[in-house]
Amino acid sequence: MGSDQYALVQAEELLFLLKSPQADVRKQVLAEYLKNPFLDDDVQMLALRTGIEREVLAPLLAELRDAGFLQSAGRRGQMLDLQQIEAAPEAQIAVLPSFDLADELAAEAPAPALASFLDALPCGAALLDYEEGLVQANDVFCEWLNLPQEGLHIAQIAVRLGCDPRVEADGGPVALVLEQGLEVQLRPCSIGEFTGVLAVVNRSTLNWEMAQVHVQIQEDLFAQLREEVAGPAALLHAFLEKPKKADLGAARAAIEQINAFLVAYMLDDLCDEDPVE
Amino acid sequence: MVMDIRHLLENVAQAEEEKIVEEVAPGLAEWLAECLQASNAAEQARTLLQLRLSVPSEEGIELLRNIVVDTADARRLLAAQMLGHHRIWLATAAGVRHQVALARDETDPAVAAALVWGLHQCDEVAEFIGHADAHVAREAALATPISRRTLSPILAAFRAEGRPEVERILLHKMQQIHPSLVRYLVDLLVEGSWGDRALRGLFASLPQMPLFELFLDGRQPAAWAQGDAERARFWQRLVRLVSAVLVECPGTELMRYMLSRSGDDESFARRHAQLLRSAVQRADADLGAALVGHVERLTFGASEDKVIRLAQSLVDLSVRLDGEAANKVNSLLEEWKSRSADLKLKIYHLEQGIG
Repeated sequence: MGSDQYALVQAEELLFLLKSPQADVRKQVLAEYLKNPFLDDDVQMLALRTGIEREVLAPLLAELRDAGFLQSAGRRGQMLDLQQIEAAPEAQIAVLPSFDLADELAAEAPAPALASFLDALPCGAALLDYEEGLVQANDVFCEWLNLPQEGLHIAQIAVRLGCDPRVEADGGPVALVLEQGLEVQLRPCSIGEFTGVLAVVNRSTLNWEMAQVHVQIQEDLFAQLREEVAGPAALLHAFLEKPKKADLGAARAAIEQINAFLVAYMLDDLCDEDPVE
Repeated sequence: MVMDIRHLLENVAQAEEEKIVEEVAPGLAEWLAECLQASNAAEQARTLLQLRLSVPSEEGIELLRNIVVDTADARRLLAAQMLGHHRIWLATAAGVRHQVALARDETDPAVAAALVWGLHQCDEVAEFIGHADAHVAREAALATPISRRTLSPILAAFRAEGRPEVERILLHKMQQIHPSLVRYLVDLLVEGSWGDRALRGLFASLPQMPLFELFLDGRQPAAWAQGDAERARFWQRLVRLVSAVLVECPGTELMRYMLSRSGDDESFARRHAQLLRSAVQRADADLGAALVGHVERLTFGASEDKVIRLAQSLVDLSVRLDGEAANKVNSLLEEWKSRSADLKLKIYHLEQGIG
């Protein structure tokens, strides 16, 4: 994409990148995707491309997927996750002049200005203090979770989430689906003197709807398979087991039924071939 | 008098062609431009997503090709990447030839690399391994499948020894070569002059079993090495290098094969005793422990002759192992010693290094 490379830089991911001991490796992987946003390499090919060991790369890709940088591209491939940007446009991504993401962000030293940093985020984000239960949350966070913007306390968030986020995130990052398409990710974090939980709210209604459509299509197809293929196949099986007892006409009808199904799905090309001698 | 209107017909045809291009792919050209002109990355991402999801028609592919060949068009890199993502042109040989021609004629390395990327897993991409630009050559190495057709350009890249990154990628790929291709590859080696370093690297990446069978177990050299003194010397050099590589880093499969054959075949055991011993002496602890179990299975109820042939390997392994594996070796040797006085004496000699 030339000099105007882009990358997803959600709050959570930024902090994650900055703190991560493998920041350079992550940058190297992302750089390959930024060079070619259509890249859909699988782990093996990406290991070859970057020279990073497959054992190191596989968990790292999983982390990048969880963080919203990458998405699955079928057949074990990974792609740059552009839909995350689509879900929350404008400032969710930042134009980066180079790949030195961590260096640039480190130079900006975001820790002292947490409140303004949170306000600049396009997604809902809040920092929850372990000790005092105080909250620094941006407007989007309050709006999406229907929480008051003034005087917000961790107890109110706990009521909304149905659990204490400090306890929930104690063992590591967790994601809670509050309702269809509304997800809250909780991750322990420490920025400067602050130690607590970072809560990020994401809306992915479109993804949820797409998933529902896929589920429906699959179920319909399976129902059709059961009716149009499995039933007739059982008839054929019975005929082949005991030809004398079964009905030849019914077996022929079963073949016709299966064939009609194959024709409907344009899978009948194999039927036209000559039988193997 | 007849009026010549052929030029008018040509103009009409050309105009219709242009019209088709614009009509069938109304969004494609605009999306490419929008993507490049996006004022922020979110907008850019949206158009990119659109480009990913939109499968271009044949005319759309043609439009992308036209953009790529227009050197003044800023959208050409993106168009080349899109061609690599939507590869419906792969369905025809002409489509592949067209893509290869585009890549050949391309002078911008970034665009050429994108076009080469589009050819991934096509044999035709191998010709770009030797491309003058390192970036394009690297992309070609990544995209090249290992097949009969691609072996020659791959070997040429190894011979050149100038591109470590390309070599790394190709050597890694050679590990996946089908064993049946190894003989063909060896026949291709005679085509050029090779340095020892390049040959060692290549042999270390190839599957060991076919190498062993071809160079060390085979009684005859390759046909090209017979009747020509220089080629016969080259063959001997290959044999020496293969032997060194196999001894240096023996694989489990090869070791098991050699132990099994040594147990069953006395002449094989005699021929390869030195190689087997050297390889066993270099085996690491994990391989050693695995081999002990294998030897134990091989000698279960076996004849004394077979046990004696394998005893040398086990004694060599015992020196390299410790812990549970070493205990297992010792108990196995003790069990063998108890079989007969003759066996006991021979194993004792082997342990003393006088076998």
